[in-house]
Amino acid sequence: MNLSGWVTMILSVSGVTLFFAYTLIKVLRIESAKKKLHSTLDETPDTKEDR
Amino acid sequence: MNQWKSQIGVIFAVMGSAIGLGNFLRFPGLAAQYEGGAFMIPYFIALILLGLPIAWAEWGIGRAGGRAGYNSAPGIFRALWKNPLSPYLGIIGLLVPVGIYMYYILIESWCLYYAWNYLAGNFPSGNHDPGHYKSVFNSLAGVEKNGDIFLHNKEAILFLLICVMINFTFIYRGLARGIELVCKIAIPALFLCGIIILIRVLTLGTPDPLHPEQNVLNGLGFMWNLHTENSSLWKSLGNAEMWLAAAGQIFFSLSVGFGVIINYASYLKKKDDLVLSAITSVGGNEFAEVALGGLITITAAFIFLGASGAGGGTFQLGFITLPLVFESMPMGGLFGFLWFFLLFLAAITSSLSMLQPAIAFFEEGLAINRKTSIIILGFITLTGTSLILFFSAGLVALDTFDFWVGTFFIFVFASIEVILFGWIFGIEKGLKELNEGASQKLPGYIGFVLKYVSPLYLIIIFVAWSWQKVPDYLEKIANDSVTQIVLSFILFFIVFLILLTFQAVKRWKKQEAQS
Repeated sequence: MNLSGWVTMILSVSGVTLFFAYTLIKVLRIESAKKKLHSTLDETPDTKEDR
Repeated sequence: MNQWKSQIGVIFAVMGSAIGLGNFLRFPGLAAQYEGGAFMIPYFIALILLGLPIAWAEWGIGRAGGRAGYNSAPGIFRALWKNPLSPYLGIIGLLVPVGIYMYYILIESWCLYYAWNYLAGNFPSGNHDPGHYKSVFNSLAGVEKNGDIFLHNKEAILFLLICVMINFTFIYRGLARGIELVCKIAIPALFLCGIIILIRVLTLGTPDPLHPEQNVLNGLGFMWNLHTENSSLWKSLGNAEMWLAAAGQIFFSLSVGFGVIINYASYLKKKDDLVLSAITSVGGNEFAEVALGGLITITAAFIFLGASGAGGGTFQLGFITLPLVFESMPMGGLFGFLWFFLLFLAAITSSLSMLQPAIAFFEEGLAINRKTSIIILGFITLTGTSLILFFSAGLVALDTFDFWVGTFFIFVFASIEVILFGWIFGIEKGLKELNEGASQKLPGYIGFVLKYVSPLYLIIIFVAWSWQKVPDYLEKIANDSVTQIVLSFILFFIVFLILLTFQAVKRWKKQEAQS
């Protein structure tokens, strides 16, 4: 691996790790995160009605 | 303490929705195909200028559309963009998730097949020969000959049917909540497993003394070096197809431009935090993709297969090289099972969400109830998957689907969304929508990026790609009969969606006239 490879790897891996850590800290600081955070795993209202 | 525990659970559930096969299989395959380190430049530019901003735009458009009373992309586009053509542009938001589902479930079944074989003790086979796993994979995927799977590999069909049953049972019985709970355990377990495998890959040294050049450092170099023996950095960066593929990968792995986020966001309320939901999902996804996916698969592929083998296809690399890593690990059978089973679970969370946009469209556009919608969708997706399964030689059908539906149409839909958000819905209104309920407001420059930078960037890549590559693609279409069949199927599906949307628009107009 040459110097450019080391630089690319260190910047890429540390960049995404820091970004991930930032999001973790952000969410942990919000008390109502459970109610306010959503994803594409949410149960949709039509599923609830159908059940 | 309890609150932290519950919040970490929420984080993993959000991440679970984004993490999937794109991170550990598609990303390393593309990075290897486009000269490793050089690929990371358009990749990160696309993440900053397209991925995250358009993810926010999609969440915003979705919630605004939901408030207007619509949940599917054609309905939402029609509500926010008063133009007779807008619902027809929204069709791409149905084509992409359903089209991707057709081949995604096939790869999901490969993961399950491998997990089962590790559990049954068939793997590791004690055979350190890469050729052994190549032949296992080629037989499973029918790489040698079209129709081979139907004649000679009933097991492959059985595992596919199991996956189809699992997906449709979950969605038919409305068990998404259960999957969310599974994610809270499966995602941290997948991360832990990934870190252990990474440590093993980085300590492999030089396993084959006959090939001393196939070592860890050279493997990392193959993935991360900015220039290779075949290409300089500038030559790689001049390839417009790499920029399109990098943007496509960002969209694919973040589920942006899929029509999935827009659908799920349409059910949200004003108090919900769209900004943080998007960031959390992107943060976890990128860590899994770059820090784990980027370090494990290509490095291992280079060590065991050399440079020519590491540059293999988009999806299959992980199925040939990772079993070789498990061969060289203590408790390789256990890790092999855990890895492929957790990958299978991560894939299920993604494939389930791909079905909801079409279900929502059938419900609100055609007044078909949820269960009937699921049955219709089951028939459509099984037809597409069977086509890909039959034309398996060289994985041409799968790759054609992945390029046109999983890259090209995602790119087009993301472009339409960013124009809708920035120029039709309006940046001011859009940012207001996103900041509603957000714990941290978006800075104003995001509006500038969404209005000017993202659309311009998308246009430049598209024009450059068309200029360089369209003649090649036309030639490929003209000369390859499988590509022609697959594209005809996609075209037929588009026409089918246009006819359905025509009916839906008629119904919506009638409803509006009555009210």
